[in-house]
Amino acid sequence: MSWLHDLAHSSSGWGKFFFALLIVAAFFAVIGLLLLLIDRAPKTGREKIQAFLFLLPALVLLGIGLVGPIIRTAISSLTSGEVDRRNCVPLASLPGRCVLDQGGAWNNFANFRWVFANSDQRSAFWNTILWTLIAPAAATLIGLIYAYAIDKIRGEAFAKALVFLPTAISFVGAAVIWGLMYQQPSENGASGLVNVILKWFGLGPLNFPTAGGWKLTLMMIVVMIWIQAGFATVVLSAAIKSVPAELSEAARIDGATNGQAFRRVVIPSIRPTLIVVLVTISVATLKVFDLVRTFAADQFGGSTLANQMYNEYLQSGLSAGSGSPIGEHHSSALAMVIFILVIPFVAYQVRQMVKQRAAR
Amino acid sequence: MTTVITPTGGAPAAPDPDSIAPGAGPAGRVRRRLTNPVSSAVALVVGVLWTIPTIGLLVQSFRGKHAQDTSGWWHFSGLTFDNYDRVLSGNGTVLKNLINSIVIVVPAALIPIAVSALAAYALVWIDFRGRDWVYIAIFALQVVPLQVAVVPLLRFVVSGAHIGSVTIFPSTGLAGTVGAIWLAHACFALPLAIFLMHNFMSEIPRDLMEAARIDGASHGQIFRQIMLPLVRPALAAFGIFQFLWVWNDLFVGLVMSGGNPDISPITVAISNLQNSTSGAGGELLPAAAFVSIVIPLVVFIALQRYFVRGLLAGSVKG
Repeated sequence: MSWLHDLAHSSSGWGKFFFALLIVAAFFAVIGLLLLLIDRAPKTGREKIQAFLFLLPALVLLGIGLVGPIIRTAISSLTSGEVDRRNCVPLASLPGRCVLDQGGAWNNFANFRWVFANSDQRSAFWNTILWTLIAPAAATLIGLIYAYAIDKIRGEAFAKALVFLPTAISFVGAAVIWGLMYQQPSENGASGLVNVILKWFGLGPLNFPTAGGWKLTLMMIVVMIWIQAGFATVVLSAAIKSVPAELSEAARIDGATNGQAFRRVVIPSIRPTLIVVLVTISVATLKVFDLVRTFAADQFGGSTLANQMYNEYLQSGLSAGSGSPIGEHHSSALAMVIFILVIPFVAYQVRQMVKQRAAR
Repeated sequence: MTTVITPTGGAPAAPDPDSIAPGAGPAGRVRRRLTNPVSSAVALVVGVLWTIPTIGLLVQSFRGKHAQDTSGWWHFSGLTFDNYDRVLSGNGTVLKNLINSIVIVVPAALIPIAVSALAAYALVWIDFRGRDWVYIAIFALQVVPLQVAVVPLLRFVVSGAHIGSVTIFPSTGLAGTVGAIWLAHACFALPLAIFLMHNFMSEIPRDLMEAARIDGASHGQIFRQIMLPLVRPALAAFGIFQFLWVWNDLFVGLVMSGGNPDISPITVAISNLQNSTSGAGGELLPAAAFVSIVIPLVVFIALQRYFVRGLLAGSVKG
């Protein structure tokens, strides 16, 4: 199989193309085989075996890609880097082994205490909270106002497309776009548009990204809002259109102004959609990574939990081959903090889905 | 998400994505705010604010190094194709990463489509105990942050799975290849993909399935010959959503490639280029970024209808 190994590690474009083609072909051959197997399942307990075979590829991938890793990260976040068997939780089924064999020893939440004691991690935590407090609400509000403002005007589809396009742009691309907008005035004369406009009003340059701290975070939140507002606009616009026109008209006949009709009639009618949009953007914001990394903002006090998680992972030397093993455990603890922050949103969504299934 | 997507595109919580087109409301509604100056002003300001930054990058990408260093893009000075020539030339590293992105994105979209269609079929059309719980558990996995999953998955790719000294799964041999990145994207996409397929498949009339069963068709035959053709819109919706997601991803590509330029996607290359403060070749950054933006933008504009369905259905992935 050395030719396969060579193909897999080929650095030429064609080599990689052929490898991809080969793997995709092999994958579909396996799926075809699986379907044959399903049709030849034994008669006893047939349905159950067939269901299992249909689910098998998904269960394997979910097991190695999500379920296993969650367990592993949870254990890693609760243990220390050194393997110390004295504190292991013994496993009844396997005498002599313990649950924590792989990750070292239980260390009494030391990794989590480190997250909240270390000033870099603490500032990343508060930055993340700041992101999550501002970005989802602002993007949703702008999306709501814009969706209502362009509702049924001439050229609505075009107006919507303008705001929706950033949705297709990567965070990395958006960071390059806004890096240009925020560019510091240089001695050669180049300057970003934002700083040129500030100068018209006699204001100083923004010092991006050296301003650091919450100022830097706010400047990045602007980019996040720019990316997410289009999503909010499209979803909320669809919701606004589903509100019966008679409702707003009735309110206006009763003497309500446009603004009052919007606040008292439209907003209550689209409340469930508003919450869906807020939850969605909040989850994305809690995990914000690409923007901060591309702006190198983590070097100027603008780091977030996800960026610290990555930086600690690099510290662990897993990728580079040298480093301190505790880095991986710290990284796991940071990942678990993100997970814990996301859980309320997950719980809300699962509850909604169970409700919807019950309603059908 | 919590939205239920049907084959016709209707959705209760976040309504019909097809009504993005203007004038889709009930007939007889007037264009009432056409003359409202406040609305027009809001639309104009937001429209301009959301477009100018991208136009700025586009213009800048066509300007030479001297022009970029000495004046803002709105001067439209020093226009040249030089940057694009250098970005897309054979010895440029950005081209290599662009090819990597293409090689990554195709299997990373195809594999979860097939796997999720199989799984959703069992979850909708085969009765077995605990079926609802399996489905809800998969749905809940949708919102596991990738930060929690990606490092252990990399460890699995490198060294397999072990409990103590017992090997459950041997090393995959995919370490240092694009295979590691496909595997990660395929795994992480599944909860959303299964959710989407499940919603589509459960809208197929039960009578159709029962008729096929009575005629003696097996589950394998029904899946291939009846189900797959019927859920083609769902396959397309998810395929485009996953294409854009994988193409625009930085985190998974960064960790799973270990920063190896032979396999890392274009987002990693651009992030590194911007991240290294004014290093050599900084004038190529706008052109490189624009190349990476154009591909998803074209896909997006061409297939927006499908994309919106995918978005409405599952934008909380990852």
